Amino acid sequence: MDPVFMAEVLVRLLPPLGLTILLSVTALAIATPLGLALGAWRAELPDRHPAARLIDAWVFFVRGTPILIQIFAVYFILPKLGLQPPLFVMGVGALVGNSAGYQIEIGRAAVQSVPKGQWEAALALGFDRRASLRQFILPQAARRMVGPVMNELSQLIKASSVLSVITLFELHKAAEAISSANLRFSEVIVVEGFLYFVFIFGISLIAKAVERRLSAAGGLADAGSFAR
Amino acid sequence: MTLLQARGLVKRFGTFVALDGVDLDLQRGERLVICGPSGSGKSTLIRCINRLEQPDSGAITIEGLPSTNLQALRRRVGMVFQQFNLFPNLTARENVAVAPRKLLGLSRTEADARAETLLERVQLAGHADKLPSGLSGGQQQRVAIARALAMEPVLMLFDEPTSALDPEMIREVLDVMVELGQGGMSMIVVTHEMGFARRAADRIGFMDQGRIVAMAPPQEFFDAPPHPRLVRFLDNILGH
Repeated sequence: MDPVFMAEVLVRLLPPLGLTILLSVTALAIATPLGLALGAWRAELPDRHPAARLIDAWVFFVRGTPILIQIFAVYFILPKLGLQPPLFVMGVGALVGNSAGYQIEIGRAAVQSVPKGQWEAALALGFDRRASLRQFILPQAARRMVGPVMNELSQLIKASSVLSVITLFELHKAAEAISSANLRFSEVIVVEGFLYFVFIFGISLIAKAVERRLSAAGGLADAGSFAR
Repeated sequence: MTLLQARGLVKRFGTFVALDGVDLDLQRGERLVICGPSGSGKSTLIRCINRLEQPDSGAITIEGLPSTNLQALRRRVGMVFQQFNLFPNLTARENVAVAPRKLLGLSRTEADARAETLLERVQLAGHADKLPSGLSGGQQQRVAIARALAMEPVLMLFDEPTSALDPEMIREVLDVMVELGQGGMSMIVVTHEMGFARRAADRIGFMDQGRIVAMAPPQEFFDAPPHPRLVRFLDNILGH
């Protein structure tokens, strides 16, 4: 291990890390609200509803295929359909498609895990279903989403490394280029891993702060009492 | 004056017939207790009244009006559940104030004031800022009663309100219900608390296999049970 070389690699990897952050954060900003909202909506739909089938098919595809295939699918099939968006858009699109697929399940499960009695209490007071969902069910579901969503955030950041296969010059692609140009792999891998770790750790700190705020709002105070 | 009139209510769950043609009349201010073995349709009956269950056939009118608008119906009919079903992320005060504020358009101050008054009425002044998890079962159920009362209903439904409570807390909930009845509230109470029925009911109905098979004022109900199945039921629950 050559510390001077590693320092040099670190500096050279900062701009590609910037692209990784940009890709991941853009994808997160779209996939999380989209996935959770679709999931909450899906929880309310009957299984036979066309929208429910479409959402289920999406989740099924995302879960059932490797992210590599999903990225290639976007990269090769979109142009065949006459769509030629910039690489960055394709990359974000692939990440959103993947991550939202998982977050749909998080949203759906969280809404469905709120006890039926909470719905009945709201309905019996005279709230309609939509207002019951918004006023009482979602706030309780939201706190159940925090843990799984945090997990999904780190999954998404790590998945962004696979975008290297469509020549996006993000962190992993850049690290590959440096290591093969210099034929020095271990140093580059260590620095690359360190940068991913720092980024994910930073995101998790932010997520923890969000979790604390939800908790302060009272949503976390009594998870036990409605676990019945 | 008739407050509630139900005719020919039928409710099936798959092949199980939960309600098998139930007729029921309730006068304004009347306190009706419904008892019966489990599975006899008691809970289904009151859940059909506020349409938490949709009856397969039959008609219900409240104050002479058919219950076509679900939300409007439910705003006039309060319900108290066996499992309390308080909103766990809201304080006692917020649990009581939320519906009048969101549904009746009361300001926060007005709704909070209404909540304070009602919490006082159920002997919970001083607990307004607690979350449900910080209250005992009996206290939670009294908050639930206050929450239902906050919509100023014309009728209160109680679905086995003391069945999930430890014995020493049953009394405090029943006392609140007795007082509510004495105040003129129309009530239908599904319960096995025969002491409460004797003390507070105007009439007691006995259900078996989806039908109301006996209906009588407390004295007659207990001293001269008008149905053989009821005689056995009373032996079972009073005899132990």
